[in-house]
Amino acid sequence: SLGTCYIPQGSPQMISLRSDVSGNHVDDGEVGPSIRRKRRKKKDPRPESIIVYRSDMERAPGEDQGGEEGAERSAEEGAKFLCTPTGEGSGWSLPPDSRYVTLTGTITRGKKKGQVVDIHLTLTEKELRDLAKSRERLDAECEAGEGAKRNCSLGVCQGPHVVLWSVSCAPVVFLLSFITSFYYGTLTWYNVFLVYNEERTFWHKITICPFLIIFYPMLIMPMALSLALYSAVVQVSWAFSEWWQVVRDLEKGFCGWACGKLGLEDCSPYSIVELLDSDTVCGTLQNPEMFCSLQQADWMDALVVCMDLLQTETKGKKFDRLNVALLTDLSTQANQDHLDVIIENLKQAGITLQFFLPFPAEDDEEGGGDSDRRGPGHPGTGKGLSREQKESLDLVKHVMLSLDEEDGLDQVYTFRDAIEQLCMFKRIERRPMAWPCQLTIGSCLSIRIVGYKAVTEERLKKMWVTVDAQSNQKEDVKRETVYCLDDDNETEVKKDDTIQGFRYGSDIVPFSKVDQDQMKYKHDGKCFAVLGFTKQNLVRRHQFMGSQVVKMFAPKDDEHAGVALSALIRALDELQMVAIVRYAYDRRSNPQVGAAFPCVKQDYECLMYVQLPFMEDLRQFTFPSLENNKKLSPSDTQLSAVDSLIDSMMLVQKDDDDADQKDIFKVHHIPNPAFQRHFQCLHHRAVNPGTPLPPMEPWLKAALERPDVISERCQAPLEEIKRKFPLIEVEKKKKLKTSAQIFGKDAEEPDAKKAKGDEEEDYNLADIAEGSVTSVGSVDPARDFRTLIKLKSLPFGEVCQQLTHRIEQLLSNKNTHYYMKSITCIQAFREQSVKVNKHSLSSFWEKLMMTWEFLKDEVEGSTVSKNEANQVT
Amino acid sequence: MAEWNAYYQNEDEDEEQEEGEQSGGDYKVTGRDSLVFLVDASKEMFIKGEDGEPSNFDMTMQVVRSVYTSKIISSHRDLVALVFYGTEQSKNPRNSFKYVYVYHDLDEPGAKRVQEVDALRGEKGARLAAETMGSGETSLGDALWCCANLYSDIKLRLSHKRLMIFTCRDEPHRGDSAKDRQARTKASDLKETGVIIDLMHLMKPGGFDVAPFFRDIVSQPEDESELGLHLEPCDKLEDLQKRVRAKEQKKRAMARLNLCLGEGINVAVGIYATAVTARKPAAIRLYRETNEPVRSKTRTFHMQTGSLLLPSEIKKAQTYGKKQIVMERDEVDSIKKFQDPGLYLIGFKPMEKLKTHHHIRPAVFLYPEEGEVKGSACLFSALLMKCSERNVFALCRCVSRRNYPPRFVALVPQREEVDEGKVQFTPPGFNVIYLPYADDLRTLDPPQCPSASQIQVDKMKEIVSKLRFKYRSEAFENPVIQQHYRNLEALALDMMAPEDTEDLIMPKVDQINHRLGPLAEEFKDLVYPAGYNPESKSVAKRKTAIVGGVAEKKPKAEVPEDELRAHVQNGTLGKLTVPVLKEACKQFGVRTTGTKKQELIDALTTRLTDTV
Repeated sequence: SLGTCYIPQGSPQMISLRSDVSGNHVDDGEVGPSIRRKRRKKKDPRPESIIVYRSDMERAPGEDQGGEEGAERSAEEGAKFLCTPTGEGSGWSLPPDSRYVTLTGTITRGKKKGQVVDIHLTLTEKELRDLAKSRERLDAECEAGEGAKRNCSLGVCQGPHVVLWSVSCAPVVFLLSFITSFYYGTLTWYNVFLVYNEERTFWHKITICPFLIIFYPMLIMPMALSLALYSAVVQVSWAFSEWWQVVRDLEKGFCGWACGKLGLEDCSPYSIVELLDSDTVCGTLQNPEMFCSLQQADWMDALVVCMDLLQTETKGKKFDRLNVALLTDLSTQANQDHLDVIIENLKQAGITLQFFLPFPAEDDEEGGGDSDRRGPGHPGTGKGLSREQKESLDLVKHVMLSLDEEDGLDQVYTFRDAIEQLCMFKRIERRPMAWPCQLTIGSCLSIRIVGYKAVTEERLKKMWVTVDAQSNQKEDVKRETVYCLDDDNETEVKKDDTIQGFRYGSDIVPFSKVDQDQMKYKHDGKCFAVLGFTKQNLVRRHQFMGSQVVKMFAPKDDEHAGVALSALIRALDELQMVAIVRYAYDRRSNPQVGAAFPCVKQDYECLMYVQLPFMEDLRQFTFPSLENNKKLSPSDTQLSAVDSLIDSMMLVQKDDDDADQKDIFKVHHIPNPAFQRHFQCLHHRAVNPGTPLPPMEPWLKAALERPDVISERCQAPLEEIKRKFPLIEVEKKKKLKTSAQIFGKDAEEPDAKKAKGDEEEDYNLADIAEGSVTSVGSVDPARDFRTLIKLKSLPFGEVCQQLTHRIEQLLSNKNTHYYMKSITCIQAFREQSVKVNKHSLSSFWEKLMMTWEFLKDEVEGSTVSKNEANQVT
Repeated sequence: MAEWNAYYQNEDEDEEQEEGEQSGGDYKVTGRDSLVFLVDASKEMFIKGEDGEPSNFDMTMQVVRSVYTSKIISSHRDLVALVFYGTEQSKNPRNSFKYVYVYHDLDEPGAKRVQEVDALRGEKGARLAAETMGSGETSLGDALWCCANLYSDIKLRLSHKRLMIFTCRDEPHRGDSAKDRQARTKASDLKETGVIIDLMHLMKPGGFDVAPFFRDIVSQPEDESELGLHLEPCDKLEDLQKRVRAKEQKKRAMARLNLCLGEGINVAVGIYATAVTARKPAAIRLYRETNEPVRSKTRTFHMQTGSLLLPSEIKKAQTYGKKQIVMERDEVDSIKKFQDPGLYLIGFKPMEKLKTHHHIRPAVFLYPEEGEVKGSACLFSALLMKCSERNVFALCRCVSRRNYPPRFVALVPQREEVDEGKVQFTPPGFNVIYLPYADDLRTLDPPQCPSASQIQVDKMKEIVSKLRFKYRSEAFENPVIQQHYRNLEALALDMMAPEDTEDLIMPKVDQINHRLGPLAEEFKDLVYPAGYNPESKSVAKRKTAIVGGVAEKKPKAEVPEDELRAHVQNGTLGKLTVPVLKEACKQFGVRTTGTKKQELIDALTTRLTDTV
């Protein structure tokens, strides 16, 4: 797995961010470092500010499951998740300088204590900055030593004058704080009073409530006064920003704290949300914009923090690669003091670095080669950079080159490159497993080889699990398989009372597992033995079997095996031959026959193994000849039309040098659209729960279409083809229907697989939702019947009665059209009855048979005989 | 309640849908196939060839047997019958026809039947045939009528009916025109009910002339091409076998799609699977007491309430980025949907651009469906001719079924090829080769190795040319499946031991050694230094593997819970070995899918930190 730490510009570190955010479903207004709003007061609500309470089970079972399904996957596919483009807030009409932010937190106090909430809000740049600053301040408190250093300097915003100012402000602050505290205190008092008065016992009411009323002035005054005094003292500070910070928080969260202490969380006039760390992937998904507008950060410091984070978090676990990705514009001064130490540590810990900059790292003057590799159009290459940026850039280069002398700078990307590469989800990568074996020719000659799976159809590892629609819990759904005898009662038997058998034609042979294991085909295990050599053209491409291609190399440390294998590969290549081999992966797997093709590439040689068919796999179909048929063979003009079509639709372009043909549509460079779409939808659902799935990404759609050049070029030839080749769709003739076809299913053999599908296809919820059905009508009784059964709005018996009534009505009309309608009704009736209860059908069936007998005389050419009809039941 | 299950069986299928796509073998079967062998039992059939060649009758029986056994393996649900005509004795359902002997009624072939056919083979078989049936007068009309009755007695729905006549007499009634006429009428009756009549005419002195009589008996081939009637009679067993095999299987299209060249230009094509991996059939569960098969039912119900869940009460979920993502079942399906099923032409590429190693699944075959869109065959044929002439393939986007994501395929042209006997061995059409996406290719790190010198390569060339052979795809039988059926056969027929199977994919080491002679040593001297033994290292490895295996069987050391917790807290779980970790997982009831150490560690960590 991969440990990656992402540092967006300026975020000093990812530690718990604590901020109090007022909580109700509508968050109103200003969000500052400590944002408090009275519960009942609403003012100018912003539409995008929503608090979403996550349900509890989302956490616990979800995490259990994650563990169960293997951390490898979550790391692997989770990593892909990270590489998604974030919507950049598109779709909302936001004020120009504001952002849409999602904060995740836990309610630490209050009624919903422990609840996880997502708070979606729109913040302006300024608010964000404030929020971040408050965090910085808290960080500073946490790490007392580190943050406090720079407080001693002077400036416009800090210095003795600020102290003077804050001192002069003290009375005002005192007054304001007093009022606020008094107000909140009263509210709290009132809430506490209400609790004791209404929710507690009678004894509480008569003992505590009078005291509360009597002691109200004695409680509120000292509290408000002391809070006010505290505020006034505390606000005296050296730096203006700090002062402003403190001044805005007038009540200091005392009421909430006090309520918590008293065990009366409900009474707090505001609830308190503690924001989570953003180190979960989920957090990262939603929070990327949160730290965007921080000021003043030294990326060197950030790097140090990241290294520390990676080292502490990965302690005791195995990781393949530790990586720090740094996104920065380098516009701040970096502290170069401990550069050597940092580099040394990076090397020691094996942490790799990646830089993402808004401009390319290499300047034009460094060499012509670089400029055309980067491509034109990058803004401000070397120009327009500030002094700090230039210095920092040199620093970056220094760091990267000292980590990796040769291609260290390859790990410095521009934002543009990154966005281009990240617009698609990462392709699935798996580390190939080595399969050491020996290639043998006879018993005397063997060559050591190592096989790696080179091509195979990749599948998603995570499956959909079935969950209950209400609770979304998979534990609520249980699937159970039972065995039953094939008799009328469907007597269930225990699994232990069954044995296994196999079909041998019409016979079923009981054949226990033990016997089977003893008698089955056994072999010596792992093997790659040559059976012989044959011409390459005898092994047809379309006869390749299996789902993979294995490449065979010599072992890394064995030069001699390398030479021997190379001799074989070259010999085969020069003779245009292949080796036919017996291949067995291991003792447990079935042996295969296959072909080993030579593959000589510029930088390596290998054998490529592909499975070939066994005799049993082949189906020798013969098809009527196309060419010898006079009627079908195309004329010369038709052929030339096809010729020009092929000309216009060639997907290769000849280069000027004529040496190489350029392929303009490489399938093996397209990411699997199914995965792309899958992750797009998952991502969307994760970030925007409860909204419909998004449309397909335009780039993905375009990637699956004909290239524009081709579709333009082929217009005329296609028109020509259309003219030359008449294509007429054949109207399907209605075939004579037998009872089996009318009833749709093979009555003799209940084939579950066949029965599947058609029901599902016809009745999805959307269909049902079209109109409300309350009784079996006469227009489409079959459909109404099915819908009613599905909806279960009426008891089954009643619906059946309605249907039989309709059928009788239809039959009494004595018209072919009505007969057909009644047959569809019976079909529906039978289908639903089989599912629910046989008896209701059989009684009706008797009645129907009587009608049928009577009808048969009248309906000529009825294809359904009584026998057949009986069979159906 | 039990009847509800039909509804729920779909569940599994949904999840394994992609698997299904791969297997490619599941057709929408609507009935069973049936095949009747109508074999001439006249004296001429028993005449042996000049130099000890088997008689025509013997050859026929061998073919019948091979069809029986292959049906048992490949499609045991098909019905097969064996009927003799021109016999002395008669035996048929109502005994209303003389000189017709129904040896096997239309039924699934089983072990007993194979034995019975076996009994008719060789010298002994001929004698047995003479005893039980004898040779008498011939009335093909009656024989055909009798076969028609066989078909009509079957209660099952038959989808494909075929009748094969094996004879070496071109004038079975010796010019009796009344009987000829009767036979012709019966034949046309049969053909009307959808039976296809084939003639497997065998060698006779003076040559077999199809024209006078049999031309009217046999069915016209499907598309009026000239290929249907083989004018040359068979004289070799292999020929006959090949001919029978080619006819015996009904080809069914896996899917019928439109190949769209551009707007409004749709060619109807059928997709056929010409090679499908044969697997051992799944076991059937039997009730222990009576050996009768039991049915399995799968139900989904709610854990708390115990009520069965309707599909509308079920949703699908996945955990990503530590967050559970829930979707409706419809939505899960709609994610997979890109376009409606069909093939859409992207363009053409020269054949060199089709790489050998771009292989992800077995190819399928494309043939036009004139019945759906008239004119398809003509355009298809023109495309085929031009593509193969210019040595290009067509690149298409292919959605093979509803709600399947698209794949890109290469349509490789294949011209028709016939052998000397005019038997088609490659049909005309396009082979559909599935191409990999970027995700399907893995990045390897090839080791740097020195390449061989020309002398070494030349030596190897000698070895290669010594071991040349002509590869034929049908030459290798699957030993696993063969052994399985031999075992079943032995059990079904109460044989002492199963018949020996020859493992055709085992290298014939002695022969190879003999052929190579000193070449192997010479080559080794050229490439390997003295004392180098390519086998030595791996032998050592195997030993350790065995030791490891023994160690695993030892009673596993369990780690007490508090010690584990300590490990978890310190993050030092990595110090424990995999077996210990596995045992610990079991101990805490942690289900793990993975076997990798890190997976186990993570699973344990989450579990233990949760409970703390």
